[in-house]
Amino acid sequence: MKHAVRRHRRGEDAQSLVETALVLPLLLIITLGMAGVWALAMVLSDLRMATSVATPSAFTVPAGAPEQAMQTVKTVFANNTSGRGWASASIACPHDHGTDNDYLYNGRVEPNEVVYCTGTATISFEHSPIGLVWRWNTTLTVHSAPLTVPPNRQCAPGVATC
Amino acid sequence: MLSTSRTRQTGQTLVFAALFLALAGVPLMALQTDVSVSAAANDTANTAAVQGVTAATAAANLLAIQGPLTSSSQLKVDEKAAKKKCIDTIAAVDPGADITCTVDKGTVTAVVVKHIDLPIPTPFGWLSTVRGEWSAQTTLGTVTPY
Repeated sequence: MKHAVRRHRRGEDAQSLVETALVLPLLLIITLGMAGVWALAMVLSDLRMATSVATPSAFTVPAGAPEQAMQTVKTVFANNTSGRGWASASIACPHDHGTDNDYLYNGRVEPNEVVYCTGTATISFEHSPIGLVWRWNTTLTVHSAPLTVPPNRQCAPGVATC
Repeated sequence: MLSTSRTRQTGQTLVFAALFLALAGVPLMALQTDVSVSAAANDTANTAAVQGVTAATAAANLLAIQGPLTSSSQLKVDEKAAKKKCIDTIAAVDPGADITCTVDKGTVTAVVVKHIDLPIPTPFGWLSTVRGEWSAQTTLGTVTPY
C-alpha cells in the first residue's frame, strides 16, 4: 500500500513538471510576441512621422533643382531615423506612371502637381530578447500624404522657367 | 487515503496560484499599465516635436529682404520667430514638457522631454521619462508667396 501511494505521488510530481514545461514556453512566446507587436507599433508611428516631416523638405530648395530637392528629402529622413536602432531605413518618392512626383524628377511645376514619398524601415530583433521568438526581419512601409507643390516657388539659378 | 491526496492537491494549486499572482501576475499587470501610460506620453512628445518643427520651418523673415526679390538666397529664416513658433506650438500640444528648439542654417530641431508620474512607480525611474527629437528643413515661400 505504501509503495502504491509513493508511486502515485511521484506520478503527480512528474505530471506537474510536464505541465509546467509545456505552459512556461507558451507564456514566454505569448509575452515576447506581444512585446514585438508593441515595438513594431512604436516604429510604425515614428516612421510615419519621419516620412511626413521629410516630404515637405522637397520645397526647401528653389524649384528647378530636382536632384537637390530629392537629396534634401533623403537627408531630413536620415537625420530623423538614425540612432533609432532600426536595421535599415529609406525613403523614396516614386516616379510611377511617368508623371508622379514630376517635380522631383524634372523640376517642372504643373497645376495641382503633388509630391508624395514612401518611407520604409526594416526592424530586426536579433539583439533583443524579443528575437528569441521574433526571428525574422520585419519591413514596414508608410506613404506620406500627397502635398501640392507651392505655386510661388523661386527658380533655381540658371533655370529660366520652372 | 485518496481524499487526503486530493485535499493536498487543492492546497498545492492554491499555493501555486498565489505565488504566480504575487511574483508574476501582479508585476506584469503593473508593467502593462505603466507601459501604456508611458507609450501615450511618448507619442504626445513626438507629435508635439514634429508639429513644432513643422510650424517653425515656415517662419521666414520677409522684412529682412532689401529691394526686389531676385533670388531665394535673399530669404532669411527669422531664427527668433522660428524658435518662438516652435516652442509655442509644442507647449500647446504637450503642456509641461521641457522644450528645446534650435534653428541653425535652415534646420529646425526640437527636443521634447517630459517626466511623467506613472501609476505604479518603476525601479530607477524606468519608463518615467519620455523624449521626442525631430528636425526639419525650412520651407520658405510655401506659406507666403514671394
